[in-house]
Amino acid sequence: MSVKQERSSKIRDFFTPYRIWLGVVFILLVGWAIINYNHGHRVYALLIIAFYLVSLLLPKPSFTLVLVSVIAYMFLSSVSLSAFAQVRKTITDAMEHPSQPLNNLLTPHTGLEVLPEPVQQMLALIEEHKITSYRLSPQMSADYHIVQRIVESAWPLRMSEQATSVFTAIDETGDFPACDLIDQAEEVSLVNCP
Amino acid sequence: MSTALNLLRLVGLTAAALLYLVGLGWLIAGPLLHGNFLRRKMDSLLIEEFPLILLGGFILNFGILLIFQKLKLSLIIGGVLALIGLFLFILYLVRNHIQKLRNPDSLNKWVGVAFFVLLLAGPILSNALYDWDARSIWFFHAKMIYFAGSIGLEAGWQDPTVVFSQLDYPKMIPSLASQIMYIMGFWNEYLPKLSLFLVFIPPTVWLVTFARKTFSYAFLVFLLPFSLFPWLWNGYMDGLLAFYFCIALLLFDRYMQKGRKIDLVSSIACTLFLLYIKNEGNLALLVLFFAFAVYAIISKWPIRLKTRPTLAINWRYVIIGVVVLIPFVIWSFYEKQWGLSNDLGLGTQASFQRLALRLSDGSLELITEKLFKYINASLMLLVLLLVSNLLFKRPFVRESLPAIIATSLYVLGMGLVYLITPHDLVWHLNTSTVRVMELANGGFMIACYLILRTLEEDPVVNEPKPIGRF
Repeated sequence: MSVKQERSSKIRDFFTPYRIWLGVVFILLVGWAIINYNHGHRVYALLIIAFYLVSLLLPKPSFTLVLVSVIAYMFLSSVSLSAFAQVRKTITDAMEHPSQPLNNLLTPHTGLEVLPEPVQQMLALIEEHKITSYRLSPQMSADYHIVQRIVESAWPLRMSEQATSVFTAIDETGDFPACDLIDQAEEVSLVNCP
Repeated sequence: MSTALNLLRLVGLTAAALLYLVGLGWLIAGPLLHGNFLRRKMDSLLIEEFPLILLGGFILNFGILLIFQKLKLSLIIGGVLALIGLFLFILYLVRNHIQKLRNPDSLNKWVGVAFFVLLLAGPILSNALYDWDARSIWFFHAKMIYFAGSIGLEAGWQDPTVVFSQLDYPKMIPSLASQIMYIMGFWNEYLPKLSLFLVFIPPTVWLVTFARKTFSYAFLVFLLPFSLFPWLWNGYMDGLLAFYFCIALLLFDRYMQKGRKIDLVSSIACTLFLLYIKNEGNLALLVLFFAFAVYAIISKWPIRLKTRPTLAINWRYVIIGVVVLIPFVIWSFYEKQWGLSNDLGLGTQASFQRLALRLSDGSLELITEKLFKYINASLMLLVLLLVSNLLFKRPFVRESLPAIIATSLYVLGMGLVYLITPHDLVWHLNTSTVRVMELANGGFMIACYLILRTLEEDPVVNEPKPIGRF
């Protein structure tokens, strides 16, 4: 066998269909890693390439390496860890103050503290002045966060264009000279516009 | 003292709700599983039947409310039916399952369920309704139903000040929340979430039925419910939708592996239940059924099953299938009657115009980038496991195909929805992609789990052949 033929035979032996397939996969993985790298997911890009190259360099494919990579992935990317932290916090809090979550669950009107401050003030004014319908000033209406929060939290009390009770921002009360100031809170005024 | 009393009240309320749902659910699940209410005909364990019974209870309860509209009347009628159902279920339980419940294996699984459910009850119930959609949509609808004492028009669906609230969204979970609060007689921002907790129980029970002492199961439990954080407990429906989607895939896989009818029935029930959770459930249902059909064809089902299903139509299943879809049809009818149209305007001429425009103005790239951002992590793991499979010179894990097909189609479907959205595209993407892609992440995770499980069980993987050095 000539040297040339011997070399060609060695090359043929080396490039088995499986090795060609591994090469194609490597090219695809590099492309995939580049996309990830460019999108800011650098850890994933490095993880996949490192996993592949280490697997190829090992004498035999290792299932342990697969497991380690999966565990690494779980720690790097999953939000499960935050979920566990949340579960742990809830349990710790409940153990320290067992009455609080139960009171929260079984007492009327609890949980309103999550609302924005102006909305809490409006709810207090509604309660105090026994308002039956209300509307918001233009400035208040422009803030869709405030609009949605007051509509849902004050329900079944309904917002109405015909209402005489108007909630205004504290610095906006002067824009309603024809209306009577009923009450004021820190950020919100209640005026009556007949 | 008051803490103990409150604990008793909460446990009592939860237990009463579960008994009510089991009683109602048995009226559907009994005939569905066994063709009767008292005799066990299907080879299934109680722990496999229980979540199915609860799903039946949720749907029947919602159907009764939709038909009678008034909370009080529906609860009375539902209560009477539940008592009948519960009586029949207890008889069934005593005659068929009570001995098996004492079996340590069965007991262990129930303890596992209780532990799992209680672990996640904390985050669900201890946080007030805070996030946007939870307050502006889901539990606002519950509040509207609660204060009107009715799911009818008097709830205020046509009030011009609530147009922001996506009033066409499914009402099953809001209805349940309003019923719970109606029973208690007051409203607050914590207790309505008990409805989320109740709906969270069935997929959790199913998840426990897959328990095995393996790494792959630990992986599944670590990722499936917990990676849906915080969407599973913040009052959004996306976490529940993803959870049910994943369980439908897992149950279908178990059916294809073992051929047990309970798994097929449960998988289809989970798939149908998606309709009642969220509008995206319509798309999820379509892609799941498509993926199941494709997989059934390519795996030469039912030839390889030991017990070949007959081609004759089983009218029992058809009738029950129709019954469980009735509430969905009734709500769709009400939506049309009351003019509660979807804000996306799917299928309208304007939507096609937007589609044509967005295909040419670079929006597609923006959408792709955003979708990729949120599914990239799970996709990366899938790639890693597919590569592992190749390195071990193992054939492609066909069991993962339904999950890959259904999830990919779901992502494409959502991409299409974004292409035709009438909202500002950037705003719509920024406010929703992260949560609607939870389902896609869950689907890819299931594919990963199935590959991992197959590799774990494969004797060749434990005695691998050399790859050959370069």
